[in-house]
Amino acid sequence: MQIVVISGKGGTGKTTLAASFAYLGDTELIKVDCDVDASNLHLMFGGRNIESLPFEGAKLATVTESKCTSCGKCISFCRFNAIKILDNSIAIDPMKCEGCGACTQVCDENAIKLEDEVTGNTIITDSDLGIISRAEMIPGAEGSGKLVTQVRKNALSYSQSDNTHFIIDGSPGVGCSVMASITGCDYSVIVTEPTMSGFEDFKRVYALTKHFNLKSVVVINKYDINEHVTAQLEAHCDEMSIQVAGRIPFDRTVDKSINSGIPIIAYDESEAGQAIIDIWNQFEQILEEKK
Amino acid sequence: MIIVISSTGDSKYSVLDSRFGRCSNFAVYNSKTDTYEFVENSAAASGHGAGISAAQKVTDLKANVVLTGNLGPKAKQVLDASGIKGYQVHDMKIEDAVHAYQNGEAREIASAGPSHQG
Amino acid sequence: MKIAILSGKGGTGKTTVSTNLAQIMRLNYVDCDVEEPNGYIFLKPVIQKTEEVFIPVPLIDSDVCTLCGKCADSCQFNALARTMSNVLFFEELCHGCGACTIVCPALAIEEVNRPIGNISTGEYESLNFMDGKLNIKEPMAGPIISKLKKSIPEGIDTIIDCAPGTSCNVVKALEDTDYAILVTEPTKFGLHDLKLAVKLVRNMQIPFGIIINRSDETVNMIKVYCETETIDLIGEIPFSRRVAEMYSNGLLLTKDLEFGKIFHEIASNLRNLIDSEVEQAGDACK
Repeated sequence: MQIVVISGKGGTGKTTLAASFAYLGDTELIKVDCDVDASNLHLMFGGRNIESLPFEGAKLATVTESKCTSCGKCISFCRFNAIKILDNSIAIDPMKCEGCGACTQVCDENAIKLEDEVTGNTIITDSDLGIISRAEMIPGAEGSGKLVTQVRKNALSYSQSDNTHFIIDGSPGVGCSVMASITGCDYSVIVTEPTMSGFEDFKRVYALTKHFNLKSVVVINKYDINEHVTAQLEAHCDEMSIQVAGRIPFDRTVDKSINSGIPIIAYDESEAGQAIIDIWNQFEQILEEKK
Repeated sequence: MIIVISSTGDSKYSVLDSRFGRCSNFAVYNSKTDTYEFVENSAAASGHGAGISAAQKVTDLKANVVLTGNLGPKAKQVLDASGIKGYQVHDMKIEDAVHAYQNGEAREIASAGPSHQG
Repeated sequence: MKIAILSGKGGTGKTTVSTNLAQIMRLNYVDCDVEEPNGYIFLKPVIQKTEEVFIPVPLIDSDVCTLCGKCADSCQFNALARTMSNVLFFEELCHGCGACTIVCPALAIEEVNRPIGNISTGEYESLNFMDGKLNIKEPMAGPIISKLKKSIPEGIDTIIDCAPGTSCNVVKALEDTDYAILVTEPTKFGLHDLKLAVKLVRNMQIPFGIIINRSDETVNMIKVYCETETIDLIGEIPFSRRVAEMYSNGLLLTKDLEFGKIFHEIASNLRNLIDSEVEQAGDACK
């Protein structure tokens, strides 16, 4: 079973929740960090990287200067403004180039070709609490969705049996990275917060999960920051028949736990920790039933 | 007829690769000559759309039938449009997969499986 | 002058900083977080125009198509597949690059517009407001961000609110900006992702400074990093439950006495830092 933790809005507590679930689950629970351009899940676990491979997730147009006549035809066909004239040749901006190859098709001199571009590294970390599949994207790289897909495939290859479960830490947003994180999952846990921004973003990411036919449950984090908006969120979920799995109170101990690398659930006096444990117990029941 | 099988290797004794889009090789069996040819699957390294690219390759090979473990929705769409039928076979040698199909033991893939499984 | 606000980590306070700075410095505001735009909640603009954003996608005339397959071969994104009976098009994979149209020998491909989202333009407090929104289930935000950037009138000071992360969406928002503000929080996650954002702005050669949001006794982890890397610290916004509540209600912090003062100070520091950047750049040119 694959459970993905998403939010729409950033900073609602996805990684805190995913890390807590990972601690509460057994070591066979494979942890997958799909937030490839801001990968934080592994910071909550020790361990060492047992695999780190470069990932070629995009193509880049490259020019052979000796063949280029600076005719500029490529510039007029490039839709991404990635090409400029420079001295006796052309220059391709790697940040703007999308690797579409249109320029290679129009160049009369065959001076441009597409080359594979490394967009990040996929990594397997062997932590005390089991395997983490993650990636470190090169800042600014294209194709984050492809890298996410590879991270998930790598996780699958570590599964011991059909009964292996996966907890996936997703990224904020609703675009291709998030879609690549949620496709094929069994459940999504949408972590939201009682703010107007959080509410709007929740609606959008929930609509996305419907499109992917995912069963979703909602967790309202820091619910006591604004109990009025919390009530609005809960009423909205009720109206839409979306299950609210729990509410977590705002707790400054969470930051402490992040900074010390100790899971929030290990802090006995933490109300947030206790709330997370209650939410996890519901999931554990579902996972047991599946076994 | 031409039967294409998703394969983990380049011999008829290799095990079938249940993934279609990202299998390492395609085994191409010609029933008239009872011979096998092997073609590398360049789609394996693709980002999204590996299934589409693999299905395109199979179309180019003029296959009549595909034997594999799972076909995603886009791959199936491409094969359907070319009149190529997919049959599901489980992990077994390529040669045995062909025999299973010929003996009517393989189940036709009537609808696509989940995407991103290969 | 275009000032971009980014963070690396989500939820550190990009929109808080960009909307409040825009309001206090009387700057135009553009929300480039088109997957989850929120700036409008705080600036409450009057929207005057909303227009759809399209990408050009191929439409194949099957009467003219010879099924040669060159279009499918040329497509780097596997959006086209040549079958025995037709050419199939998978629109969600298409980047709108036009390569297929270029290669078709039969001239069988016409480009048509496919809507992927929209851009809204309006006013808040007599200043320009723009945001973009990606349609749900569309994977690519890039074209909307590019359109937004193209629509920014020249010569008008603008704040650009970026998406979280450091992916190509952030790059598109950052392109051709004059200064970047990196908003972080004093946590291990915040610092980890801040370093990635710093790499990005350095790569793109955009002068930048840092604002620490939700600052508390752990703030030194960021300050020490700034000192070691010689990065300008523009300001600090202390952690405050009151601020969290105002934010949750969609209120600008500049209306608050204490936080209004803090933003004034940040604005003043920012102006000084930008002026000295401009001076340095000028000296470098001499």
